Amino acid sequence: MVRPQRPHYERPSSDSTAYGEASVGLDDVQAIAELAKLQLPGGRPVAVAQVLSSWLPPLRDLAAAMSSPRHIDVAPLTVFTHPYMGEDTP
Amino acid sequence: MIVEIRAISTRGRIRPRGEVDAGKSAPDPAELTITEAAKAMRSGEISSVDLLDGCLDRLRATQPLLNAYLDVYEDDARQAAQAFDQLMSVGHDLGPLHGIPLALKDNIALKGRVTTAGSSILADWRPDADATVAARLKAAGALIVGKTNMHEFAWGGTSDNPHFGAVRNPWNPDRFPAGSSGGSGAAVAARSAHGALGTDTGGSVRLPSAVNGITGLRPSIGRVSNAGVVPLAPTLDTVGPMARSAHDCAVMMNAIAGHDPRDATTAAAAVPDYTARIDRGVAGLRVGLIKGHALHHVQRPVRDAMEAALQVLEKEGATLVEVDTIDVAHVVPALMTIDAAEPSAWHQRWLRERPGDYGDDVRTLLEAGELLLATHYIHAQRYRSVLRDQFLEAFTDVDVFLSPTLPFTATGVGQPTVEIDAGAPEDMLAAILQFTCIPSLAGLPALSIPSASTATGFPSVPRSAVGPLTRARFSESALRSRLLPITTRRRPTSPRCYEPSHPDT
Repeated sequence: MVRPQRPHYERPSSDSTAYGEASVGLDDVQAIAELAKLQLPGGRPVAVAQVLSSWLPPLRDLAAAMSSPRHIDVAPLTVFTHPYMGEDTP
Repeated sequence: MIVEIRAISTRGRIRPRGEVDAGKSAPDPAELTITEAAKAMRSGEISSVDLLDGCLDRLRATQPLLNAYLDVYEDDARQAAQAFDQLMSVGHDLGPLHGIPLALKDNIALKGRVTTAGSSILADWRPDADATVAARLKAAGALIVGKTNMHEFAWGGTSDNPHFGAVRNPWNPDRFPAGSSGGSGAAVAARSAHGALGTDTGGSVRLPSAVNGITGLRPSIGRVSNAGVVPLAPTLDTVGPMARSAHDCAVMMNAIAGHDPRDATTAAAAVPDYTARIDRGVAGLRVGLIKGHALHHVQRPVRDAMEAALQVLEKEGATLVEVDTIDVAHVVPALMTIDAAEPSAWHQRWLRERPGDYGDDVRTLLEAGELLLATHYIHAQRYRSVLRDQFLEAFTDVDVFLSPTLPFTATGVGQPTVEIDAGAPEDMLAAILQFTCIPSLAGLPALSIPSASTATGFPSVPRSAVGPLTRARFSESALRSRLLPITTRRRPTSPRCYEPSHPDT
C-alpha cells in the first residue's frame, strides 16, 4: 500500500512557539466549554484555565514529537478485548 | 498487649482461650503477615476469629486518627470467621487466604453494600453483584473487614477526600498516605487488615504502598478483572494487591488473577503460581536503570534509598544496566492526557447534572479533561505504543527496571504542592506520577517495595517510607521469581500509631 506523503518538519524545541503559547485565556476556556455544552459558572473558568495552562505546553511538545516522520506510522494503543473462549482460567 | 489465643487444630480439637504449646509465646495476630497467619492457623496456634479480633482491635484504635475505612462489616466478618474456623476444624481448607481478614477499596463493588468510590454521587449505590475480584477473594476464604477510604473517584494522589475526610498516614498522621488507594495503604500498614485491594491507574496502588511502608503490585493490564470496579481511565485501570510482604501480594494475586468472562479486556491466558520459586535470589539478574531518569529530580532521601537498594542488588550478584533507548520525556503529559480525557468521558453526564456534588479538585480535573483536543488524546495513546515497544526491545538486555516509586517522601496532609529540588513548588499530581506513570502507560507490571524511611529507619522513627519500584515484562513472573526475595528477607515492621504511648496518638 502506498501511503500518502506528508510534509516534513522538524520537532520544535520545548520553548518553540510552533504549537502556540502556553497560557490559556478565560475566553478560550468559555468558548470550548460552550462547544462542549459544559457550563462553567462562577470561578470555574479560572480554575480550568490554570490547569490547562499547565497541561498544554508539554502536551504540545508531545504532539510535536508524535507528529514527526519517525513516528508517523505509529498506531494508538487502545483496548484489545479477549473474547470468551468458553474455558475460564483460575 | 496480651492477646488471648483460642487456637483450633486442623483436626478439630478446639483449644481453650490462652492455651498454647509449652515454650511457645502467643503471636500477636494482627502482626502476622498473610503467609504467617495461614501457617499459624494450620498449626492450631490461631483461629480466623483471633485474626479478625486482632484487626478489629487495631481498627477501633486507629480509625479515629487515620480515617482509613468508610464502612466496616464486623458482624458479617465475624460470622464468616466462625464459619471458616468450623470448616478448618473438619479439615476443609480453602487455601492460604482461608479466614484471612482483608479490606477493599471503596470503588470495588460488594453486593448489597454501599459502594461510593469516595464520592457523594454514589453515596446510595448498592451494587447487585460483587466485583469479580471481591467474589474471587471470598471464594478463596478471605474475610472482608470493610471498605477503605480513597481519593474521590480515584482521581488524585492524596486521598484527601472532601466528602469523607482525609486519610492519614499511620507512620505520622500529619503526613498524607498518598493515593488514590490511601485507605487501603493505611489500613494494611496499621494492621487493621492483613491485606487489601487497591486500584491503580497512574500509580494508585504503588504510591500509597510506598509512603505507608507496605508492598503493592500493579499487575499487567488484562491480568486482573475490572468487572464491578468503578472506572477511572479504562485503558490504564487495574486492580492490585497491597500487603505487608511481596509473598502476601503473590498469594492475593493467585486468588484474583485470570480471565473473567465479565471483563473482555482480561487476557485468556493461564495464571502461574505467583508464590512459586519466590525464594530465588537475584544473582545474574540484569537490573535496568533508565539513563537520566531513575535518580533524576528526586529528593535526597529518595536518592539515598535508591542508591542503597542498588548496592544491595549488586552485592547479591545482580548486574546494573544503564538503558538509554527509552524516551521518557513525555510520560507525564501523556499519562495526564489519558488520565484526564477518559474519566471526563465517563463522568460527562454527572458533570452536567450534578456538578456541585464533586469536590473542587476532581471537578476541575474533569472539566479540564473535557476541553482537551482529540488529537492530544490520540497522540498520547500513540506515544504509549512507542514507549511499550522501546521497553520490549530493552527487555532483551534487561530483566527488570528499577526506579523510585515517587520522587519525594510523604508530604503534609492537604498539601497541594511539593518541593522536590530546592526551588519552586510543583503541582502534586504531576510530581507524584513521575515514575509510576511509566509502567501504567506501557501496560507493564510494577511492584512497589519498602526500602527505607527518611529518618533512622523502621521502626524507630518512622516518618515516610520510600519504595523502589521494579518493573518486569508482560507477566509478573520476573517479579515473583527474582526480586521479591529482597523484600521478604526483612520482616515487615509496624507503625506505632495505635499504641497509646505513641506521641502521634
